[in-house]
Amino acid sequence: MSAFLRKRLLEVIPVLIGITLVAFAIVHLVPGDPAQILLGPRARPAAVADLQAQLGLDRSLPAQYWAFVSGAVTFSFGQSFQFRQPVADVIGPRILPSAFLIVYSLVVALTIAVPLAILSARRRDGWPDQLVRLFTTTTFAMPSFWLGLLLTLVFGLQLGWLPTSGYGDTPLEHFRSLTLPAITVGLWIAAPLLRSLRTNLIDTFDAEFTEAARARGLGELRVLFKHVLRNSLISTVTLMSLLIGVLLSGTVVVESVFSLPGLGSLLVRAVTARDFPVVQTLTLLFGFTVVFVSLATDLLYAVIDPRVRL
Amino acid sequence: MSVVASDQDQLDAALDRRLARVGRRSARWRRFTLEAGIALIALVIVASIVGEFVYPNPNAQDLAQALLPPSLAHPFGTDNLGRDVLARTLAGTWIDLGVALGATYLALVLGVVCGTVAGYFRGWPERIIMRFVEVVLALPFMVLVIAIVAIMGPGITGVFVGLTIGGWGFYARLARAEMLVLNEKSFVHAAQTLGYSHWRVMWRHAIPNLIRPSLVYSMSDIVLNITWVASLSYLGLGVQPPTPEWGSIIADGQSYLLNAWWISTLPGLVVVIVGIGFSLVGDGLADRLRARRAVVR
Amino acid sequence: MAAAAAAAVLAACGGGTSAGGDTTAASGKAVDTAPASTGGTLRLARSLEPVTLNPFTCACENGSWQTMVQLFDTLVEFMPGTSDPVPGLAESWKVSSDKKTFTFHLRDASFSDGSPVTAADVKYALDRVNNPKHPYYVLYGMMKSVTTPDARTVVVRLREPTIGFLWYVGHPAASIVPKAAIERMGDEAFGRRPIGSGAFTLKRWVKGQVVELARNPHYWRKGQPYLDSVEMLYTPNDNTRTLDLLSGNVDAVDAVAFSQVDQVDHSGDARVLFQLSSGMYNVWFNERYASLAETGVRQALNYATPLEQIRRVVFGDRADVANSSLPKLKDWSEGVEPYTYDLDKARALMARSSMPDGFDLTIDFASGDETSKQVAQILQDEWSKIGVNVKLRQYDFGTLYTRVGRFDYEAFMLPPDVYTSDLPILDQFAQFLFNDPDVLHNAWTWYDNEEAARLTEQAVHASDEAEQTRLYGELQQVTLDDPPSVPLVFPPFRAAARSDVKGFQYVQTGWWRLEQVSLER
Repeated sequence: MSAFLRKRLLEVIPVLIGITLVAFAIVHLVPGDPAQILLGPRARPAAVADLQAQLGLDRSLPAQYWAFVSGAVTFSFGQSFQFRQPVADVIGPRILPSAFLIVYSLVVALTIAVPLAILSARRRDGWPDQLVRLFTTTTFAMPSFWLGLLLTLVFGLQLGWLPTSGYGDTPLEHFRSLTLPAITVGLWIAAPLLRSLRTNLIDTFDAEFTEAARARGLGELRVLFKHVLRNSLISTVTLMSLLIGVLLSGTVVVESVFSLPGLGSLLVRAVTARDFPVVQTLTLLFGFTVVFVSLATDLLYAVIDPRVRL
Repeated sequence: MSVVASDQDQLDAALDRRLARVGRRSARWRRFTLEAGIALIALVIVASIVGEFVYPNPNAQDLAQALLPPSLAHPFGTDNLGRDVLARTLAGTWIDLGVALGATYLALVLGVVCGTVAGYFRGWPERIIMRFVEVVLALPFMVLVIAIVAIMGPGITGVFVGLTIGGWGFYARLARAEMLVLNEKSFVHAAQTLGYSHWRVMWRHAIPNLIRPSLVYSMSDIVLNITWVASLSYLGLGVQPPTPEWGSIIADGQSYLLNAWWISTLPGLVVVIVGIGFSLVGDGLADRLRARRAVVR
Repeated sequence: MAAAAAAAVLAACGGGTSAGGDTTAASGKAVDTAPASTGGTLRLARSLEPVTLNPFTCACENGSWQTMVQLFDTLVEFMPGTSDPVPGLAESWKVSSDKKTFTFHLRDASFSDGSPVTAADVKYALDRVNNPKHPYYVLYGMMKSVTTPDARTVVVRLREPTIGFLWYVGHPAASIVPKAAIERMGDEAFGRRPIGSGAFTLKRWVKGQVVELARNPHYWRKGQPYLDSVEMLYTPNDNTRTLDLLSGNVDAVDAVAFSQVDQVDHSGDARVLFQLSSGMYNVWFNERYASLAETGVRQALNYATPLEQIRRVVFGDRADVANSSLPKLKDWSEGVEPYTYDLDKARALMARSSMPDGFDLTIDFASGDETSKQVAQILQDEWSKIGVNVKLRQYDFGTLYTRVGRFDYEAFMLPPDVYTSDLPILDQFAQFLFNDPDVLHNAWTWYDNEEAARLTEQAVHASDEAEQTRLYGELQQVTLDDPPSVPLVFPPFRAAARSDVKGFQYVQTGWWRLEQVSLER
């Protein structure tokens, strides 16, 4: 176990270095001058040059990269160009809303996907199966800004059950405010989850050990929970870990539609403003998260399925 | 993310179970699935060809006819410049299917080749390729695409390149996992013993046997790529106006959703139809390939 | 209704200040139109948010100004419905007959930390903006000296006569802050915890989310503000703002999309308030791009532009056709005829140019700028009729600003709410467009018209107001005959408020006087 962990952790290092390189390359390859953008087009060239020096943009690229990496190692990410405050202070308050939204969305997606996948797999190729797949494919193919607006229109404006936008101040308000965004995202990712879960369920329903459990006279529900679901979870967990990576920045559209103070919209704003420190730090943060989620996934396999050697 | 090393046995077991099961499955829905999917996609393509003749200029403006609701003359209504939304939706088919299919399959080819090479040779090629894949997969997809669009300049080319670069890693991962399974199979050993070159073994024997999961996944990927193009249009990073393209038509209509719902909704429906089409094809294909593989062996 | 009444009174008051040569302002009493009820919290959803709340490190955009004017005061202030300044921290002022010496008498006011507003604080602010690196050095660089004969008097001497200087000191860039506090805290910290003498104080600022303001108990306009607090929410999505308003999630919103105006008005719950903006909405040309150097070609493009149709279809009849490249501010002249849509004239002009067969032209605009996207597509259609083959390119704001700033474009458009003058007078933009040939090359256009430059110089430094008005009128005619751009419309600001919100209105420069707002609940 510990040998495996050590090996995995060592593998992570070149990946993280790669991420810092790409993050740095991205911000410097994208055309656009942060100083010019910050001061607006009306700025005098002298003021632009001045600000460039102040932001450290007049240094050589290797020097700038070194500053970024050596800072990152000590968790000092510099000052945001556009907000003029430490990057950690810009990103920090947005981590919780983003994490909340992602977790909430996954919960919604699983709530939809698991029962429907079981139904679908039990009645394989029957009309419930076809209906379920039609439904999730439909929500999967809908652009999320469209679905989000539709939900707001119905539940926010017509029925007035939930707030139309914002994040609120108390945990209860956060929960209420994030409900519609989480449903929007959840309906989107339910489709791939359902698809994967359904295939695996079909496989395990037919597998010998399930037959054996049935033959031993275990009730169908017991068989379902104890044997089938457990064995179908592995690839679904893998898929979920991949989806977390997609959602980290992929929620940007939903954040925009619902005015949520999340990381996705911050990232797009930072790219637009060429806020190099924020883009670099966020890219690194997302990279870290993806790498460690996958590490955690590997460990989770052992819990779900003791046969997996670590 | 390198889950593959640890669940190699899993894959093996799953494969065998599937093969054993194939004979028991009913063939009725299966055939219907593939054909229904192809029919849906064909319907949209045929409609777009007919559209070429019915609407020679999908960008023709008529400001006096702006924001008209659906009617016989304009089945999808008109947009804020009085253009026929149906005409633009049909005209957009080519760009969308082109970009989605192109980006998906370029990524598939790239990913499958890299993944196969990694899984076949193991050792340092595998290490280099898979570290690279992990970096690509760990980068936020949105950043990657936005950055590439910004670097390449506005237009659909940037979106195409961005989707390809963002997408190939997943195929590489899938292909490598399958290759690891195949390494243990007798026919690969046999081919190697016969003295076939590595390339021939990979090309003729390995890839045809490992591409199935990638092909099946690619059907969802196409739909995903269509919605990414729409989302990028929503963020203003896509085709340049007035080029008709589904994502940009839907995005353009979003500020009118409250008073002219048809501009976004009806083209959105076409995207959903195409999405269902590709999903059905994916399901059908999965079953067919499964069956064929069982026969081959 | 409070707004209308206030506007009328203020307009009268402003008229007084600009009448004679030596002027003393009317008393600075608050306009007494007390509302039926006071208190409560105004929730305002905005399309923008501040970058910093330190006026001296400004990013110089409306999101910051809109917030700063609630926190800080200036010597004079701008109010909705008038272009004349009203007394702010300066209770009264005296302008010398040569328009070179401005004497301001401060009122008895204090900052939100309780310390009194003194002449030293005013001098500190004016000295900070009188810096060649400041973005508005164009305005403030003409101060020769700022002296403080006593704690309540500030005397500013200018290098040249400048009538407009009275307006310049109403700009939030010249906000008065407590000198001791800002020097103690430093710019950075002050930008996060600002102290001012404005109607409100900063209670909470969560970036990307909300700016929360609380009433300043020390505010000098007695009885105001009527509200207890204000929540300015950052809501960049047009649809979301409208839905927030209609569902009652917020009380007021800014920047209503033109496509949604009717929706709001017909809801019965809220109403859209239009206010002529200080913005320019033009297609700007780069005259270094060969085809555009010829006056005849630029005129042809103007003749080939269906202004009336754009006004109706894109702006829903809510904007006026522009007869000037400059915004419609004080000294705008109605007598100048806008271009009329006339394809024959346009074709004739093209035929006489060096490119009778037309040319290619790329128009850049910002992604997300739906208005310009719509207008640009109309222009693409129309200009093809005179042989101009238009290509459209949307860039994100960062790229667009950098391209424009580096003169790397052929033609560009900015969103109608963005390219706004911070002053209700023409000085700022006239200098910027016509009399800045060396640094920003006349707002990046490389427009070359010596008469326009001369008229601008004379108008800004005229020592007689009637003369200034005449010169600006002449400038408007000259720069329309030889256009640097295609002026489209004078865009209006569109705020919307629910029916129980009173007194909410835009100042022409793009912000609000929230101390006048009340909630009738």
